[in-house]
Amino acid sequence: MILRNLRRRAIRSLLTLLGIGVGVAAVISLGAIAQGLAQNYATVVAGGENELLVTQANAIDPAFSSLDLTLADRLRQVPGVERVEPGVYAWVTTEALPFLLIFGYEPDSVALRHYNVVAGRGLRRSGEMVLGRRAAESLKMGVGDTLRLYGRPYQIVGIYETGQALEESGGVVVLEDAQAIAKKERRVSLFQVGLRRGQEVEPVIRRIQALDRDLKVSRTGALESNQQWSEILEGFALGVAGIAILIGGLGMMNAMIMSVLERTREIGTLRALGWSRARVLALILAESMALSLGGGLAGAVLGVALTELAARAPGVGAMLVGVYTPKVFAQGLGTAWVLGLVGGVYPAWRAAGLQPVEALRYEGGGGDGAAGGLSRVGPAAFRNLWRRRLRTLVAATGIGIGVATLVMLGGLTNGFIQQLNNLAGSGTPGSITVMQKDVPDMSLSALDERMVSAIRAMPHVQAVSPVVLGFEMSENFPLFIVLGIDPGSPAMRHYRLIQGRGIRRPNEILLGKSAAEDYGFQAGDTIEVLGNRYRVVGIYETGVAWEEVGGILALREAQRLFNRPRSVSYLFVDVDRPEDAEAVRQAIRRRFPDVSASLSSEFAQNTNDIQQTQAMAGAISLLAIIVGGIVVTNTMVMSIHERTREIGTLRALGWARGRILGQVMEESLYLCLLSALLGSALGVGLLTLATALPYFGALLRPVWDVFTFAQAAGVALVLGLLGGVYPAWRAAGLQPVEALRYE
Amino acid sequence: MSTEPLIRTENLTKVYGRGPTAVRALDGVSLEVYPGEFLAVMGPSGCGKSTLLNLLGALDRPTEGQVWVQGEDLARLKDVDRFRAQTVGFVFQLHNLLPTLTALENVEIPMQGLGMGRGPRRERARELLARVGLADRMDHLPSQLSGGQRQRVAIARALANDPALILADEPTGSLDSQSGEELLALFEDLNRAHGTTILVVTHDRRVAQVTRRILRMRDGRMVDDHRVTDPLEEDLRMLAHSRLGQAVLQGKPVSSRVLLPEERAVFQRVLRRALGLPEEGALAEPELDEQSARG
Ligand SMILES: Nc1ncnc2c1ncn2[C@@H]1O[C@H](COP(=O)(O)OP(=O)(O)O)[C@@H](O)[C@H]1O
Ligand SMILES: [Mg+2]
Repeated sequence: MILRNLRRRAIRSLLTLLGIGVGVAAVISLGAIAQGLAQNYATVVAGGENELLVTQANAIDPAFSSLDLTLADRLRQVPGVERVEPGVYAWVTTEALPFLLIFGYEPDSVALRHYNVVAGRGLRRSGEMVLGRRAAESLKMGVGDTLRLYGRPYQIVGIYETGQALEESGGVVVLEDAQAIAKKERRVSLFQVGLRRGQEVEPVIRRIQALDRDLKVSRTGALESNQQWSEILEGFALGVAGIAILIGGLGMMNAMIMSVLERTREIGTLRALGWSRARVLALILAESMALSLGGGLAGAVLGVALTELAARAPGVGAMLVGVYTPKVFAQGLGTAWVLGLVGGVYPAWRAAGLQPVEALRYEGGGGDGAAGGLSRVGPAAFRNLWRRRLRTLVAATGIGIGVATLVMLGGLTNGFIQQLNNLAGSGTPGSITVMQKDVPDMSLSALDERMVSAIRAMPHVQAVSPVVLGFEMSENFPLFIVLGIDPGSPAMRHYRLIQGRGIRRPNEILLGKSAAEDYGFQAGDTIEVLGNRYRVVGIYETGVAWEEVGGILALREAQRLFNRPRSVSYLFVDVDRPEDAEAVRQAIRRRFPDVSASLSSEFAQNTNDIQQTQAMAGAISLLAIIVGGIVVTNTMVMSIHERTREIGTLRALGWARGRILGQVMEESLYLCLLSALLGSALGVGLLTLATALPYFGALLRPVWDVFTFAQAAGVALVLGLLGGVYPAWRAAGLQPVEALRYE
Repeated sequence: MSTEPLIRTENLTKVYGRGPTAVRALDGVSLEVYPGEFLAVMGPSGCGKSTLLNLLGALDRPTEGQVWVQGEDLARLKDVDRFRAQTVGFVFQLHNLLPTLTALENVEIPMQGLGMGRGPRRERARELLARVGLADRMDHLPSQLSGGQRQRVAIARALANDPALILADEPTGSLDSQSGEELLALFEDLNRAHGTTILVVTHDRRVAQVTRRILRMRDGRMVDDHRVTDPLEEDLRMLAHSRLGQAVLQGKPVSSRVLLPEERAVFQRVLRRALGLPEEGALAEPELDEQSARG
């Protein structure tokens, strides 16, 4: 009976199944990819057995870690240590590969054996590179080719495999080359420490830890910082999947509600024939569970297929190798199960609660639609939506959630762009922002400090302000951004003191307004950042959110704290007159080929961070369009299905196919328009609420522009068209006689 | 009566489905209807009345045979939608009004089909609703109207584009007898005053009082087609086509608790005379058993 009921509404069941399936697929696929990223990454920094990894404490990722090379000698003297090998990790961005991981080791180090050369030969000297198999594929390069990084050619002498996707989408160069790429002079990312045979591990860890508070020692394969990293990834994946689930879940609820409502009379008959309430409830719940289970299985298959497809994508594919754990599938199927339960409970409860007499009298079909309000307003297509208010609302909410996500992302991206464009030093029109070229993340940018005096000496340059950017992410400070600025530099003018005074000594810090409020600090207090104590001497505000969620240290102190002597993150260049800016920018580019110099007003669009956010918005719109399209189709199929007789009447009265087609499309567009409105309101509302959150809220300064809403409306329009086509075609194809006979 | 028929059918046949479950809903019906006629189609449920109407109104295509309306072969119609909107007006058993549209807007539907402008459409719809006596109910939704009023809206809607022919499929079927009578009176008025050709499917014997010609169908065949002259004769014909009448005429056994043998002979004679059959000789109806089985 259950299966027969579902088969009776084959198309609708199929669409519901698909809707759930896509949601579940998103959960599984994104979950597997997040797992994969975390595991992959963990093994990237794994060495052999009997080995320890030494990295900088508080670095969330080895590429952020920075240790003094001289530490190697001190490590070698630790009892129990047999071998110490420095390593450098750096992310670089190339056109074909947005994330290329560069490893640097001494040519004769044991760590290099991990990279199994399958073509050509191993690494011998500077200027050579062994390329991972996946990277070679993405870059379309082989042995003998030359890869240019920051203007310097590297000859590819071999191709390696390791079995790890992320590693294989990278390249290995000698330590000094990697140091140059990462701008880590005399510094490295980590040390791989080999222990003596039979040596107990724990005492060595303790001894190393005692050398320096700023060190983190982990056993290979279990780098603790990755915990945090994978949690972030998983959270993000679940967030995106959650959107798909919400949309799909609401669509499913809708389908169940409608299938119960239109069978009201049947349910009345069952009740009149002596079926108990519980039995009716069980029947309907079983139906929805069957649907969701089917959707879950379909979703699992689809999810695996999607993940495999993603892993084959050129370039980023290597980042997206899924790892299927039972947990991933459990999450996916669990989601489907919950959807089935939630989607089934309300209609089941409603059906079981009906008095048999009422249910038997139920008119069914399109109902009679007489109910005050808007029942007489607007065109027929709109009234049909009003007639089924509940369904329309549920469908519109589902789609609206997708639209809301887009609106929120749009608002945030705009906000970030505006904030980045308002960075210090860009207060004057025509100022220039200089950062390292081709780094995937702004905080990874590194510039040689000597560049400051070189640029200062250029014609038309008024002032150059170097800035160091770093951050702490810990339990105490979920996100604390540290800026290192020369107290006397022009960039300092940008930070308006609202309390206290400026920095005079290295152990003093200025706090941003939001940070001071969030963490409850005042001038005169003492604060501990990354294990160092500072005295708060003043509070500043700038109007740029992310500048206010942290503090400012003296440039030298920030360099010391982040262990990057003589290296800075950005330069802000002020020119004499705005007209000179372009010429100065060209001059900087010519002189320093591996930096990117942008007019500050264009800076944001050029950063990879913003490009990634925009790519993410694109991915989410696609997901919203797929899932939302299914929901719209489903809703419209239901809508025309119950109006079969009416459509037959219209055809019998001489309405042409085209006219019916038009009306259904119109209805679908109205539905999506409603969703767009609802979603826009929801998006603005949610984001406004989010800005009130502690710690992170201050970072969110949404900026609304017409484009964001136009984009959301555009997505809704596409949904309306996509979702309307099939039902409209079906409605137009109805034979009048068949439609009129329809019960 | 004009020489050119409004409707002509030849050997009209409709078979639903295939193989052993195929149903011959209409079986070789040939018929001529002249302009200005008012016909009733009667017969037991399932005998093919709706099927006939659907074919006449170009809602469906025949399996065999042809239909001409105003001399035009429906199989070769270039614009079916135009034909449905303009040439025929349909009235259904369940009014089939669109629940979201007001009375006025429902009447406008066929005019929209022809692409008529909004102003003239409104105008004409008002006029028609006034004609069926609903001048004060124009902006009501169907759910706010009584059954009889809904059917009147449906009639106004059928008249929208001034069709040559009205096809009404059991229009009184869902109405109480009072409303039913009013509706029939409305049809009669339309036919008398405007000369609209009307074909009504009905079970209602009162129709005999208003129509001029009655068609009787059984199992997809036309079994009787005559002009109404005398109401008493119509009653007798009705009896003759009833289940009991058929049994008596075909000499099938009838329980003596219903008719005594001598009553039966008298009854048979009267019915034969009413149908204009010869006095003696048994009628042989081949599908007799099938029909009684359907009972
Ligand atoms: N679309 C259809 N498919 C199959 N059988 C049909 C269809 N329409 C009608 N029939 C069958 O054809 C016969 C005549 O139907 P119909 O014309 O509706 O009868 P009436 O209107 O006289 O009650 C019936 O036996 C009915 O079951
Ligand atoms: Mg019928």
